[in-house]
Amino acid sequence: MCFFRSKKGQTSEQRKEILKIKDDLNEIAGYLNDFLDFLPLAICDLSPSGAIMNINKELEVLSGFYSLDIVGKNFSEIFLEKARIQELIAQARKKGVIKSQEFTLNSKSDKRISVNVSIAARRDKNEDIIGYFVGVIDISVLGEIRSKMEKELFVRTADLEQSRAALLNMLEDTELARARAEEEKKKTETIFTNFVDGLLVFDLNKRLELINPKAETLLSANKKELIGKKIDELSFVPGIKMLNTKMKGELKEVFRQELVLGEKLYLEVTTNFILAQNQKMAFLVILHDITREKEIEQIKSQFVSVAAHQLRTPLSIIKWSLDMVLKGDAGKITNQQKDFLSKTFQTNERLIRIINDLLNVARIEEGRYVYQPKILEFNELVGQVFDSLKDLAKIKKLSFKLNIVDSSKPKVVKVDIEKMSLAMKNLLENAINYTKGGGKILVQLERKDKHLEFSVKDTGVGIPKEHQARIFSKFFRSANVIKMETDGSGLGLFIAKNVVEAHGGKIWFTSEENKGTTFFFTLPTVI
Amino acid sequence: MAKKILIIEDEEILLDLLKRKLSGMGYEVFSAPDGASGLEAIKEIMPDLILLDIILPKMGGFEVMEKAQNDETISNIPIVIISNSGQPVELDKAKKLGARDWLIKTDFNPQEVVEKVIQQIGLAN
Repeated sequence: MCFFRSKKGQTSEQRKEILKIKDDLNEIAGYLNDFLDFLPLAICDLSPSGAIMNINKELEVLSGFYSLDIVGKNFSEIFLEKARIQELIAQARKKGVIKSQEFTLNSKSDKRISVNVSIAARRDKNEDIIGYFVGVIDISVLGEIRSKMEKELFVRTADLEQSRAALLNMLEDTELARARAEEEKKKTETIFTNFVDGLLVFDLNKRLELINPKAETLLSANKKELIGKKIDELSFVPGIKMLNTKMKGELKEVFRQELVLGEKLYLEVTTNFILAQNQKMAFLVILHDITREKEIEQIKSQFVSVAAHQLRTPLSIIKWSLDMVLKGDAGKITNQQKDFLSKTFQTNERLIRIINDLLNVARIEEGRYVYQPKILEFNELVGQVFDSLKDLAKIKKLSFKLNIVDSSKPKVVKVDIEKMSLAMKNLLENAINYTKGGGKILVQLERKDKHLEFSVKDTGVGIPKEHQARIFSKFFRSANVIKMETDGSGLGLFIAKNVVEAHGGKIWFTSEENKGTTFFFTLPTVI
Repeated sequence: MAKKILIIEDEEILLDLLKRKLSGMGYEVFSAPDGASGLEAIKEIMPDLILLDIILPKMGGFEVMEKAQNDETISNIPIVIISNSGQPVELDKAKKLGARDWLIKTDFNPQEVVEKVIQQIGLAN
C-alpha cells in the first residue's frame, strides 16, 4: 500500500520536507501492511461501489482466492447471500458501522464457510463515501461446534426423554407385575385352600411347606404340628407314614396309589414334582378321597349280584328245562314239538344275552372308572382275552394269531382286569366280526420304552375315510358294518377308548377301506 | 361205589333238573335247600364234589366256603360254584376261597354242567 506520490512544482525545501514525510509515511504504510498481513483477521477494503480494492493474506487463506483473482470484483460475489451483502453495504452507507452479521462465504473450492462480516464506511472531509473497510471472521468452527452441540443436546435430550419414559414404563410394569403376581398368589392361595383334594407341598429336603385344610381333615392332623417337619418326622400321621412307605422313604412320583385309612376312609394318592424351567422346585402330594366311590362300588356290586340272580334264575330254569326236553331226557318228542321248542329255546337265549348286556357294569358306566387297579403281567391278560375268542375266529375261518414281542421283557401294568379285558375284547371282536372268512388277524403286544403298545391288525372291511373321525363316538356305527352285522351297539370302541384313557393310555387306528384296520393302544408300565 | 355229589341250591326246579341229569349219569346225588343245612350235609355225607349256589337262604355260598375252608375234615372237597351272579369281584373272591370253577347257569346247559363235573372228579364209578 502506498499513500503519497511526489508531485511537480514544489520547492526544494518543500521537496525535502515532503520526501521526509514521504519516507515516514512509506514506513508507516509498510508497517501497516505488515501489521495487517500479520493480523489473524481477514480484512479488505472496498470501493464506494462495493468492488474489492485490497484483501489481506488472512482473507486470501480463508476464501482461497488470491488478490489477483478477486480485486476489482464486487464483494458480494464471494458470498452466497449476494443480495443481503448489497443491502449490508447500503446500510453501512447510511449508518457508518455495522458489526457481526452472519453470512456464508463461498470459497474458491466451493466450500461454504460461516462468517461474521463487519463493515465500516470511509468518508472524506466532505463526508462523501470513499470506500469501506470490511472484516470477515470465520465462525464456521464455532458454527460446527454449535451445531454439534445442538445435535448432541438433541440426542441427549431424546435419550433422556426415552430413559424417562422407559423408567416410567418400568415402574408401571413393575407395579402391574407386582399387582398381577399378588393377584396370582391370591388366586393360587384360594385354589389351594379350597381345593376339593388334599394337597401337601414338600421342599426338596422333604420338609413340609404347605398343607391345605382338606389334607388336614383327611389326615386328621393339625397344620401347626406338621409345617417345617421332614416327612420322616411325620410318621405319627398314619397317612403320611403309609405314603412314605409307598415311596420307599424318598420323594418319588406315584400315580393313584390307594391308602386305606381305617374302614371308612379310602384315599388315592398321586405325587408330582413341581417343575420350573425343567428344574425340580418342590414336591406335590395330592390326596383324593375315594371313600364314596368305594361305597358305591360295593352297593353296585351287591345290586348287580341280586339283579343277576333275580333275572337269570327264571331264565336258567326255562333254558335247562327246554334243553332237557329237547334232548329227550323227558321222553320222545315229535318233530313239530321239537321245532317249536327249539325256537322258544333260541328266543330265551336272546333274552339271556340282553340281560347279560344289561348287567355288564362296565357297559353301564362306559368304562370310565378304574375301580380295582391291579398290578399284573399284561402278557397273561392279553393271552386270556385272546384264548376266549379263538373259537369265534375259528368258526369264521380266520387266521388268528398272537405275537408277544420279546416276551422276556417285563410288561407289568396296573389295570382294572374287568375293564381292560372288555376293552381288548371289543377290539378283537370287532376285528373278527368285520373280517371276511379266510382273512387274517394279528394281535400284538410290545414293550416300548415306558409303555406297552397293544395292536390288533385285521384284513377286514376297513373304516371309510368319511367315518374315521367319528369312529370312537358313542353309538356311532359305520354304514359298511351296519350292512354286515346288525347286532352291534355302537358302544364297543367308545368303551375301549374310555377304558384305555382311564388307565392313562392312548388309542388310535390306521385303516383303509376294503384292505383292513389296525387298532393300537398304549398303557404306561409300572416297572 | 358211586361218587357222591352234594348240590346246595334253593331253586327247586333247577335242583330237580340237575339231580335227574347227574343221577342219570350214575352219581349218587344229595341236596340241601340252604347254606346252613348244606354245611351240615357236607360234614355228614362227605361228598366227592359240591355244587354250590351263592345266593342262598340262611347262609350264603361264600360263608359256606369260608366255613368249609376252616374245617380241615372237609376243606379238601372240591367245590364248583353254580350261580347266576358272576362279577369278576365275586369270581376272585370264590377263587381265593378255593372254588375250582364257576358256572353261570344261564351260560351253561345241564349237559355242560355234567361235563364240568366229570372234568373235576371223573365219571361216577
